[in-house]
Amino acid sequence: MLPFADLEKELRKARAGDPAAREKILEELRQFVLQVVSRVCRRRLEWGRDDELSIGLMALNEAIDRYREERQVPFPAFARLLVKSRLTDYLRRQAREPVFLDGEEAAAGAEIARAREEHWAHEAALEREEEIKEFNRLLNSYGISFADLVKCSPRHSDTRRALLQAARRLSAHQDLMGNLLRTKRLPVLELAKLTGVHPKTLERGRKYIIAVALIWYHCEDFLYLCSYLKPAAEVEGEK
Amino acid sequence: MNKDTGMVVEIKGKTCIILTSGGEFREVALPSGNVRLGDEIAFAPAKIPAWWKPLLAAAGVFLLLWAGFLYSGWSNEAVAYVGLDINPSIELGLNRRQLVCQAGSLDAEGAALLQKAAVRGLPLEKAIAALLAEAVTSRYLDPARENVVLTTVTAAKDEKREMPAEQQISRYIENALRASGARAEVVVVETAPQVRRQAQEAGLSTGKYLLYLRGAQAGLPVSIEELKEETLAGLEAKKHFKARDLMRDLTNPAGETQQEKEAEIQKERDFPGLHRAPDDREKDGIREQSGNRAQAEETEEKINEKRETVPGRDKFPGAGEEKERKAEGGGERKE
Repeated sequence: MLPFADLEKELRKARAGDPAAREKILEELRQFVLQVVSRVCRRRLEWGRDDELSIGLMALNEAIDRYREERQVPFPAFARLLVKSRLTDYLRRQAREPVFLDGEEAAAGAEIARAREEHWAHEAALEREEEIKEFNRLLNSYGISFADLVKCSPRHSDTRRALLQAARRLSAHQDLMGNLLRTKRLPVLELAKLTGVHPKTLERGRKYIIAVALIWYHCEDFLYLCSYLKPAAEVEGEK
Repeated sequence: MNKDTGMVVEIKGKTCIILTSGGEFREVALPSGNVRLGDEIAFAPAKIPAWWKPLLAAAGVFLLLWAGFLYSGWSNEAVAYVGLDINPSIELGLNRRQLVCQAGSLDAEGAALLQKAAVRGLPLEKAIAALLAEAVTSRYLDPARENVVLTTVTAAKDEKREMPAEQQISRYIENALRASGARAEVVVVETAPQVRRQAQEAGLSTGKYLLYLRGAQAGLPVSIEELKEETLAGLEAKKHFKARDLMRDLTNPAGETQQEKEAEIQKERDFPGLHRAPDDREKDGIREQSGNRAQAEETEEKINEKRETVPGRDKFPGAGEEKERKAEGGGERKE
């Protein structure tokens, strides 16, 4: 699963000046960078051969310094934005388009930095919107709408926690998740055996579990939703 | 109120669906301003729709009012009537708590008396005291003369358990009279609801109507008209009777049974033997014990016929046979 468990903790340490933590983040997110860069370039890339990957890794390193938690953008999403942005800059330079951004940035750093942040915020909003639309499409392919989720969303916090937990374990379980993706049906009995939650409860929250499990499973695609759900799941994890 | 936040995942007309930080999907009112998918919005966690709250309150108030209304109707319903014939006739309705809930009169004097003495809502004892005191000041009860207070107690329906006792009322009246310094003959009678109804039909107070019934029974010629016109004390003096005696005479205090008795006596007078006839026939039928009554009557008639005719025949043919027999016997003996 993409945003590795201690990402926030490591990030805080790295920002405080711990080189080991920074190294760990860069190492853990290598695969993520490869994915993002490949998607932008639309071709298969390899470490050590393609400069684009180096640019991406440098951008990730920059993201660690620039990231601000209060922006309410999850770090991976922010990193992805920055990687894309830097990569586009690089590709543009490669295409011999006029290069003035760097020079200007040096000249009037603060103003440009603010403009860029605004740009990123705007980009992030767009991404988020796109992500939710994408999630909606995915849900629809399972015959689920957001209105359904409102209806079957467990009201009681204990039930909700149990279902969130069940969804999380389901998404981590290769066989069951494969089963769900293939048949588009929730393996209720197997899941009940796995989690110890009563099949009736699972059946009642069937759509909810599917939706949440899909978010967890496709965490790389639903960075915003995933990071949004994380606190709720972590509360459960501690219990 | 503590606000929670959620990420907007779907926007509808006036609402939007959000994914809360607690992992719950909810439909909440769309906040004002430009909201896009993916925006994080704050919302009030309590999502109880507002419309049914005032409705519930209104229903509650309505129910309470309704129950109160029913209760007051129930508790203010007259369960017993106390009729006072001083000279004006007054009738008080008592509710379940023995408080006066109705007060009425058949004559103008009574109405005037009730206007001067407010008795509604008072317990019976105080109401009687107030009425009698007012009657004395208005000279309906003259301390110098002998007066009559004829009182009837009637249950509104056939249930007697909520009625005040006769002795109790009698004590109230005597106390009240003693307090106001008047002397009166106090008579308290319990009557059945039917008598009160009949009295209303006749346009008399229950007490006076009862007096009429008893008077008729005792052979006292008092007409309804006279009762309407005259005062009780005046009538007593004129017709030489005492209301107390008239009421006490009868072991069975008025009511339907009394009415029936009277009706029976009347019938007996008009058609003597009418009552007994069917009974006797019945007895005959049983005595005969031959299933069919028509047959029984027939045989009876035959017997009667025989009785009528037999004596003649008996004398002659019977005697002839005897002679023949004797002759034959004699002959045989001879042979």
